Order: sequence, then structure tokens, then C-alpha cells
Amino acid sequence: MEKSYIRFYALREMRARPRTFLPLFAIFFGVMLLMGNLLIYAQCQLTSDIAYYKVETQLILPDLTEEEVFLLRQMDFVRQAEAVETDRYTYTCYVELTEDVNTRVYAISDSLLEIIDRLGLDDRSDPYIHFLYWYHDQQTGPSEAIDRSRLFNGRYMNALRDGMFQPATISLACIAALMLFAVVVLVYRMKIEQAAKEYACLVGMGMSLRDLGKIQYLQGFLLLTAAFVPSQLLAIGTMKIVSLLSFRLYPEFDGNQALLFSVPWSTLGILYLLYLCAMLLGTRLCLAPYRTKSISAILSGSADKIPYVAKSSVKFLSRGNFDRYGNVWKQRNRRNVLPVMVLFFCLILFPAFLFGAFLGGIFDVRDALTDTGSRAVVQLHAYGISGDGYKGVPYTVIRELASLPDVDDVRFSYDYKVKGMTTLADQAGGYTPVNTSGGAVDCQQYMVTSFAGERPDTGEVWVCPDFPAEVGDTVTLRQNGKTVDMVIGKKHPGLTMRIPAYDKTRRIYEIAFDETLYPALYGEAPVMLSGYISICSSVPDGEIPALLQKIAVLTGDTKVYLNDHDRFLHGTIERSYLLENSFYQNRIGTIHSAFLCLFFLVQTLYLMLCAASVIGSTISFQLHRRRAEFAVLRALGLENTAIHALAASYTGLLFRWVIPVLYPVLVLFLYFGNPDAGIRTNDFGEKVIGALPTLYYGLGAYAVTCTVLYLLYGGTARYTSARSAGQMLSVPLAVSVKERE
Amino acid sequence: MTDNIILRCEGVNKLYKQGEETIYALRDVSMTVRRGEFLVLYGRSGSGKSTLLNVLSGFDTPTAGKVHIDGQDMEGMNDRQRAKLRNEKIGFVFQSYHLLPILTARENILSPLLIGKRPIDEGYFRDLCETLGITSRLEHLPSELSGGECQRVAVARAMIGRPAVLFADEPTGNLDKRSAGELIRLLKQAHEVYGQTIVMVTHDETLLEYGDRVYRMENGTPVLV
Ligand SMILES: Nc1ncnc2c1ncn2[C@@H]1O[C@H](COP(=O)(O)OP(=O)(O)O)[C@@H](O)[C@H]1O
Ligand SMILES: [Mg+2]
Repeated sequence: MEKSYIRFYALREMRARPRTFLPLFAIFFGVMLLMGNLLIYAQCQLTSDIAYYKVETQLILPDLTEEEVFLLRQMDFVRQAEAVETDRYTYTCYVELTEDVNTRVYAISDSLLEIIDRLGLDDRSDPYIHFLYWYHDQQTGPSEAIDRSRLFNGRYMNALRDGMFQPATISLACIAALMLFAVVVLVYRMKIEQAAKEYACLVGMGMSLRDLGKIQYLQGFLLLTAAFVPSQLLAIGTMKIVSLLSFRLYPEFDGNQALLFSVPWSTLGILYLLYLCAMLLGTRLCLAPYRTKSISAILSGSADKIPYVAKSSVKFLSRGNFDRYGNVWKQRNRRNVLPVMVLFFCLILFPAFLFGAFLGGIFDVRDALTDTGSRAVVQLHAYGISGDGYKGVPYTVIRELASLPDVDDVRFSYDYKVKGMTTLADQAGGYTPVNTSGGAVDCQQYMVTSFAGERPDTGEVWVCPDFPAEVGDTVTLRQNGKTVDMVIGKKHPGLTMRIPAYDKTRRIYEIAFDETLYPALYGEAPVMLSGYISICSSVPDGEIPALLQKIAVLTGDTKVYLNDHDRFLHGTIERSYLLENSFYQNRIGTIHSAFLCLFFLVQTLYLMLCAASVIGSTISFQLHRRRAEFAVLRALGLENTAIHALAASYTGLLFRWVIPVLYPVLVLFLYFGNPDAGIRTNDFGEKVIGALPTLYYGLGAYAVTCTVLYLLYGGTARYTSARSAGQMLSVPLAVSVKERE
Repeated sequence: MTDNIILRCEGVNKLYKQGEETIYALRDVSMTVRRGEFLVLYGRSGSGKSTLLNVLSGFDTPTAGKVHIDGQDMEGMNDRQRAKLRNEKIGFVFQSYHLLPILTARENILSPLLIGKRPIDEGYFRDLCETLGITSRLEHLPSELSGGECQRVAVARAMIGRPAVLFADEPTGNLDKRSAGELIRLLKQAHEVYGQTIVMVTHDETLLEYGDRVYRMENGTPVLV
């Protein structure tokens, strides 16, 4: 104890007051664990994506002229540009970038833009344009851009999208630090207020204010570190397990779906520093008011801020007008509204949002895992980029695919417009449009060789149950100026209607027909099919690789790629057909997101429990401090119920003040925070509407918390005022450590 | 002669503002305390005794006027210098003890030395505890001590650093008659044995006989009796 009194006192205080320090530790631990996990998860995704680009990035640029290829080769960031003649005088160019560019995601993106710029490729083909729009102007949703740009570098797009997560990561870290700051300010304020007389005593004995501050900093530092190290180890450990699990379960998937694990030391370091700053700043802020107060004022208690009550309102009790007193009480409470609001937002609402999000995630995952109707869907990508036009998959091969024993269903899809008509041709003009706006219905049309074991009869079309016409009605399909009339034979539940994200007013209906329609629309029998061919199978997980192998053998020229990365980097160059096991991929993604969801769910729950305990102890401290006042009121003849009401009035105030402030904050929060309703949609109103369910969820959580708070206040007041007035009025400083807590 | 004066205040005023109202707690106080003296401040409740003591000890700042402790003026000092002055020149005994509840009696007593990083005089410490009769209670927490024992620990704490002046604000206020008598005798003994300068505040007329000099506070002004 001789060594350093500061250290001695700081440690002694921590040991002597577990009820003050343990909740603080618990909440530090909770905040850090949750934030650490989110950050580490994000970072792992990012590093595993970027890791690929360190290996190789290839840009694929179709339709270049010889001159352009020449120019391309002159560019200083282009290491190699392989040109393959696709047509007479046009080339598809496979560009590899120099090493210094190749290792940085943003540099890759810059060089691609530069190529587009210098060669004037903007108007050349779809992918570029969309990529460009996305890059220059965030208005085009990234998801859409990624879809359209898949052809030349889907994986690269993913990395970019995740790269965009970096700002989100940083803001998440800032939120974490802010939460910590709020906790420190609120709890330290309470803690310092509680021990103010002791500190004044120390200062009276000759301790400088700086040294007093050091005691607080040291305690904060110890708590912070004690919470940080195990929480981050736990977070890292969890991530490691998730990563291991994803590798172990599906060893044939590497890197892409399985999460590449690495400990983001720098992120953790920055996070720790942020926490430390928040703690220092918070402590300083809490100590600040005591700097200007005299020792005697703190010791005598006259430094406790009880607002000056004007003489007129002091007469309240003598006149039997209790409302006045209630008003004074409310005036006092009002000063506490803002900090408590911050505490609420940080510790209750924010975790509640996360909780809601993860809960939703769990339900999705459960649905996906227990969905018995789900089948393995293997997609055969048949876009050819060499030769004249699309190369496609020969129709004979598709037939053979359908006849494989494990394959239930083979369909090839293409978008069509269907002119809706009914057979009630006696109406004016002969035809009545099915829909009112021009008579055309968008359809995603499947030509099927097999559909869940059946297939439509010749000349018959199957539609989804939502289709705006009835069985027996006639519909007209249009393609390339040709039309053909078909009779709706069945409303099939396996077909669906979907609303495209880019235009919510549109409806796209799925319809299915057999191959006899093809010649009627195209004028010739199908020889080759390009695009996506979905091969559905209900084989168990373990047999999927074998099935893929079978399909690969059948299609001959097809190479089986098990993940996006391989496909996008190598597939398009060497082969015309690509097999992608989409179901398989979803499944593994589902599993690791399930694990994480569950983990985050438990964490947010824990955080909310911590927050409840902190808020609970804040309340009991507040009321405990005023118990002498309660005692006097009771001695003056006030009923217990009135005192309870007084104590609980704080909640009402909170409710009245917080809702108008919190509502817009919540809307803004959701506006930026909710990815579906948020940035991707341009329309503000739509964003807000999209955010409404979450908003209601938040308000619900808030209302529940307020109610709980109300009960807590009332209960604490009951407990406090149940003691005798005499007991409550005598509270000397050093009665006992336990009593004062 | 000036050497003999350990504490001097000149023209000290202290006002409290409460809303529109101004309370004159101290009015133009000028007084001196001599080295080795037992000075008693006596007066009705609310007459400004505590306020004067707080201002003299530097626990509070006067609205106007100057206070010199052992030749040093607190005004214009920085936090560190003030702390050093308090640590070395001042001891304080409060009516409600104000012991640190998380420290044992021994740790409480030694705190001023540890805070000031000053050497511990074991002989003096033992002597002091013996004199005050708390040797057997040193390892207890304040919550485990009686009021009288608490106050004796507080006196030991105030005296351990051999301060220039020991201030005591109604040290017997919370004690029963017997403990109070015992404490005041111990204070007197300390005053005689160690030559400790003491400024004590009381409203108890029976204690006046202990003082070398007695001031009576009247409406914020001390009058020599
Ligand atoms: N912090 C304060 N704010 C306002 N008035 C105060 C404060 N402290 C003391 N007073 C007033 O100053 C006067 C002197 O108080 P005090 O020195 O405590 O009296 P004593 O110790 O002699 O009983 C009293 O009238 C008291 O009401
Ligand atoms: Mg007094």
C-alpha cells in the first residue's frame, strides 16, 4: 500500500464495491463481445474476398477492335492482355493487371474505370455501363449492377461490395465506442456521486484533483481491459469455430463460402483505443462538475444539485396542494431525461434492433433448413462468349439431362410478354385484355422438358396461381414479332408470381410450356439453348457431387465449378458451359449464418439483460438517495401510494419526452441502417414504409421497457418507503459500505 | 512575534446567493491563530462557525479577503500546490467523522502520509494510537467501530501528518456525553503532549474551558471573549 496510494485506493474500491463495478464490467463485456464479433465477422469476409484478388484478377472485355486491344496493351497497369478473336475484327480481351494494382480492390476498380474511359467503352455493352453507373453514381443499386456485371467479374464485384462494408465497419466501431461512452458517463456519474464525499475527503487530506482523476482512470482502464481481452478472445474463438465448421462440413468448398479466418489485429487495436478514449473522455466529463465545487460543499451535501425552489412553490404542503410538490419533482427529473434517453437508445433499443434482426435471420434459416420441398437446383450456365452469338447447350443434351434418374425437372427460362386474352371473344373487338394497362402481362416463361415429373400437353400452358386469367382461357405469347395462342391448362403451385425490386408496380408471372411451342415462336426447332438451365433434383446432399459429375459427362464440354470464384475467374475463358450448384451453396451459407445468428441472438439478449441491470441499479440508486425525502413526506402524512406515484412519474416524463425525439432518430437510423428498405431504394417514402415494421418493433420494445421501468420505479419506491422514517433519515457517511451501495 | 502566528485572515467575507436572497455567512472577519494554541469558536447554530472553519482551512474559498496558513496564501496556487499545502499543514476532524468506509482504521490514519508520499514515523503512529486508545481497533473497518472510536480514528488521521493546524468542526456533535468528554480530553492531551495547534468549533458551552482563547460567533463575525 506504500507503493502507490492511487493504485491501492483504486483496487480497494473495486474490491469493496462489487455491486457498482460488476454491472459495469458485465456491460463492457457485453458491448465489446457483440461489437467485436460483428467487426471480426465483417473483417473475415473482407479479407477472404480480398485474398482472392491478391492472387489474380482478370477483366474480361468483349467486342474490342484490334486498335483498342493495342491501346489496352499500352496501358501501364496492364500486365497482359490476351485477345481472342470472336468475330471478324472483334476480340474478347482477357486483361491481367500489374501486381501493384492487383492487390488493392480500389486500385483494380480504378484501372477498370480508366480502361472504360480511355477506350470509350461506356456505350459498348451492358455490363460496363452498369458497372460504371454503380461506381460513379450510387443511384443504381449495387445488387442490380452485380447481377448484370456477373459476366465479366462477379467475384470482383462481391469484393467491392464488401469493400463498401468498410465504412460500415468503422461506423459500427464508432457506435460501440459511443455506447461505451454513454455507459461510462451514466454509470460513472452515479458512481462518483455515490463516493463524492469520500473523494472530497481524499482531496481534503491533500490529494490533488489530478491524482483523484487517476484513480478513476485506472479503474476504468482495468475494467476495460478485463472486459476487452476475454470478450475479444471469445469473439475470435467463435469466429474460428464458425470458420472451421464451414470447412469441416463441406471440405470441397474453399474460400468462397467457407469463411477465411484471420484475426484482424489492427481492427481490434483500433477498437481498443476507441474504447479507451471513450472511457477517458467519459470519466473526465463526470469529474468535471466536481472541479468547481468546494470540498466543504461536497462534504456537507450542499453541492448536491437540488434545484432552487422558489418561495411560492415551497408552500405546497402547508396548503395541502401536493401537485406543486409533484411539479418540483418533475422539474428535477427533467434534467435526467437526456442522459437516460441516451442510455436507453444505446443499451436497450440498439440491441433490441439487432436482436430483432437476428431473430428474423433465425426464422429465415429455420425455414430454409426445414423446407422439405427444397431440392438441389443445379444451374447450367450456357452463355457462350466465343463464336457467333450464343453457343448454348444442345437441346438433345437437355433431353438427356431430363432423363437422368435423379433429375426431376429441367427448365430453361426466358422473359416474355404475354398478351392476356380470354375466350369470351364475343366482346367488342374480340379480345379483352387480361390486365387493364395495355393488355400485356410480363411473364417469366419456362420451357420445360419436365416439370416436377410432369409436363404440359402440347399447346397447353401452365400458369402460376396468381395469374390474372382462368384455366381454359387463351393467352397469346409474343416473341420476335411472332405470336402464338395457348390455352391455360393448369394453375400450377410450383410456379410463382414475383414483384421486381426495381419497379414495385410490375408483376412477373411464371408460366411453363413444353418444347413444341419453341418452333412456333422462333420458327425452328430448338437446337441450342443459352442462358440458365435449371436442373432440379431431390438427391441427398452427399450425392450432389456425383450428380454434378453425371451432368458434366453428359454435357461433355462442361466443366463443373463448385463455387463462384472458380467460375468467374476461369470458367468464362475456357468453357462455354458452367455448372453451378446453387442449392448447395445456399445451404452452406445458411448453416454458417444460422450459427452466427444464434450467437448474436444470445449476445444481444445478454446485452439487454446487462442494460436492464444497469438501469435497474441506476433507478434504485436515484431513489435510495431520496429516501430521506420520502420519509419526511410520509412523516408529513402523505400516503405510500402517492409516494410511489411520485417515484414512477419519471417514467411518464420519459415517455412523453422520448417519443417525439426518438421517433425521428429511429426513422433516420432505419433509413440508413436497413439494407432492404434503406440505401438501395431511392424513394424516401418507400424507405420509411419499408422501415416501418422495424420501427414498430423498436417502439414496442421501448414501450415494454418503459412499462418495466415503471414497475421497477414503483417497486423500488415501495421497498424504500417501507422502512421506518427514522431508519431512512439517519444516513451518516460511514455507516457501512454495504448500506451505502 | 509574527513567527508565532500560524494562521491569519484579513477582511474575509463569505456570501451565499440563494435566488434573490443573499446570505452573509461571514462578515469582514480578521483574526489570527497562534502556534500551539487551542482556540475555541463558539456560537449559535447558523452563526457561521463551520463556514469560517472551512474558509480558514482552505476547504472553501472566501468571497473576499485573504487567508494565510503558515505564511502561505492559498489564492493563486495551482491544484498541486494546494494539495501539498492541505496535506502538510492541515488536519481536519468532522462532526460526522468522514472516514473512508472502504479502508481499515490503520489505512485511514495513514492515508495523509501515503497521499503526500511522506515517510511513516512508526513510533509516532503507535504513540498516537496508544494515546487515543484505538490500538486494538486498527484492523477494523469504520462500519465496525463505534461513534467514539470513529472520531478518535479521525483525530489520529488528522494528527498523523503533524499539521500546522488541526481544525475540528463540532467533533463531539454526534457523540454521547461520555464519549464526547473522553474525546475532548484526548484532544487537549494531544494539544499538550505534541504542542498541536487546534481550532475547534462547538456550540456546547461546557467545552469553552478547554480553550486557550475563545471566540464567539455572532452573525458571521467572531468576537473575542
Ligand atoms: N451552501 C450554502 N448555501 C447557502 N447558504 C449556506 C450554505 N452553507 C451555509 N449557509 C448559510 O450560512 C450560514 C452559516 O452556516 P454555518 O457556517 O454552517 O453555521 P454553523 O456552523 O455556525 O451552524 C447559515 O445561515 C447557513 O444557512
Ligand atoms: Mg456547523
